[in-house]
Amino acid sequence: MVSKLSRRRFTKLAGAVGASSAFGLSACATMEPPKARVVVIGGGFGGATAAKYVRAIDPAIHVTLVEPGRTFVTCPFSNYVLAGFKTINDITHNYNALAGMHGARVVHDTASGIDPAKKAVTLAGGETLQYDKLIVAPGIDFRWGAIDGYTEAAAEIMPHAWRAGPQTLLLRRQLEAMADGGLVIMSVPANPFRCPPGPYERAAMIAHYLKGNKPRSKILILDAKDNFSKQPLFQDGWKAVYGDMIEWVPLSKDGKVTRAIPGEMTVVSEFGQNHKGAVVNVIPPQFAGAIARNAGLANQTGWCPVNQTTFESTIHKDIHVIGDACLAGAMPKSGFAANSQGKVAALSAVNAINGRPTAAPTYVNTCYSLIAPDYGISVTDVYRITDQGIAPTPNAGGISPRQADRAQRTGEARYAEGWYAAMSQDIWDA
Amino acid sequence: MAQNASPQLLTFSCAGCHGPGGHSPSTIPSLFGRTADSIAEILRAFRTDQRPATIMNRIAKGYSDAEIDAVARELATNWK
Ligand SMILES: Cc1cc2nc3c(=O)[nH]c(=O)nc-3n(C[C@H](O)[C@H](O)[C@H](O)COP(=O)(O)OP(=O)(O)OC[C@H]3O[C@@H](n4cnc5c(N)ncnc54)[C@H](O)[C@@H]3O)c2cc1C
Ligand code: HEC
Repeated sequence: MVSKLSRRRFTKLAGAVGASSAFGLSACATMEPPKARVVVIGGGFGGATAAKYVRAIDPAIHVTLVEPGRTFVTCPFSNYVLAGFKTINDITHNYNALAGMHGARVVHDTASGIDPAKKAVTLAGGETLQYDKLIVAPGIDFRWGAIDGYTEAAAEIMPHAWRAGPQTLLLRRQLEAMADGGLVIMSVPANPFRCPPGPYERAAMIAHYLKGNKPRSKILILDAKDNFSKQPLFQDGWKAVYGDMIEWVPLSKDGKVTRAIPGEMTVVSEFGQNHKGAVVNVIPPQFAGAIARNAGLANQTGWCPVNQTTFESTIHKDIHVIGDACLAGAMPKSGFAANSQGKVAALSAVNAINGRPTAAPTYVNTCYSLIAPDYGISVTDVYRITDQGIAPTPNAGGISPRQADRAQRTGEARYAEGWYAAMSQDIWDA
Repeated sequence: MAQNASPQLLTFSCAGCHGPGGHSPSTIPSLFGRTADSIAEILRAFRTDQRPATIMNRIAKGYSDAEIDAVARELATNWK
């Protein structure tokens, strides 16, 4: 069976410590009491990685993953669903491998409360889970109302599509229904937010669709900041492939949207300019997922401070917070970063359980973006702990070269595919 | 220079692109079944831009000599 082979490969990969049970039944299936219990909240990029790696590093530890969804639709590559060359199916994953060959218990429920004193998590369905170590990875929530008038109901008219799934499909349908010559407006928040290059890749992917189908249309990006991730590469690429189709208005040119009027398909800028669109995509300001904030894991920023070596909360002991919800120094809020942090948190939790010293961390992030299906760009960094917290290694990483031949761009587009497939296997699929 | 990173965590960093156990499911080259010497040699060539790359040159520059040797040894041992 493939699964057994993969399981063995994977256990080798992780350098498992408890080899005896590595190929046998998971701790939860035997009568033996588990060595320790790790509970993970959230089965996205961070949480599903952490659950899998705890099991792989030490199979004697019992892992319960709490995630309401039976499937997970990734935000990465959802812009290609908007463009029309990927389907929602292509970006949907499940928990079969995690619950099967990796032997985690996957509970499809919502965590409704955390009691750090009793080391217990309560679920909406009524169950209570005791933990020795808790890993919290709920991603983001939207700050409804931070843009006046932009409520959950407004998002059904002006979609955010910043959590993939029905919102992605809604925005796609609106683009399909739009007449040629229509104006697509995007409102982009200030830092920090999920996926810093995401809005600019989205603009390119919407332009790709419009160029082929509605070439007289335009895209207006209203931005609450004055510069953005991979900016020169995006601006060069937009111009080269789409001419003047995409216009970007920075904060200093009154780009910040402060009000939304869904009934009139209009957004209003800080200094009172009205912009009316045929399609309006509002990406609202964000903060850590509710479960983390309600458990008191966030500070006044709305995000969760953590020890930068272990990702253990600096507020509550024995609780790690990873992914978009946490404050991770210079690391962006990306799926790759959440995956990297999930591995560090998993090893840190296992080492603590086994009375071993903390491993010296290393983090990596890469964000690929497409300008067109055969035109890719990237930013990558290897991160280390410094006096300023997590920081990129000097004289390494950075963005793709600005002067580059087509081979670099087509190569990066091909490798973006490769990254997505490998990352999906590393988290859910294998 | 900061402390050298844990060899195990270094290999975890590679899996996100090269696939679990270095078995790549798609366009990025697989890494399983290689010797430590060949991995280390390639990483050093990436680091000095001696080997053509779209991204590995930028990544390899992020690791010290000791880390390159350590990750190469760890991969050769575990990614069969
Ligand atoms: C358009 C777009 C494109 C992107 N492209 C890329 C890209 O190319 N590369 C990249 O690296 N990143 C990309 N990202 C960013 C990436 O999606 C996020 O950074 C990543 O999902 C963060 O992982 P996470 O684990 O913190 O949260 P998520 O992946 O969002 O997972 C959180 C999970 O927690 C669950 N959850 C929440 N609350 C509870 C609760 N109370 N109980 C139980 N479960 C709960 C949710 O159901 C969800 O499944 C993109 C984002 C967008 C919007
Ligand atoms: C962001 C994705 C990414 C990460 C992370 C990554 N690689 Fe790579 N690797 C690539 C790509 C893409 C190539 C192809 C060369 C290129 O275009 O840069 C490659 C090529 C290689 C090669 C040469 C393979 C061959 O036969 O040509 C080696 C060796 C290698 N990587 C080792 C590593 C190691 C070791 C790590 C972890 C420390 C690592 N890589 C992390 C994407 C990645």
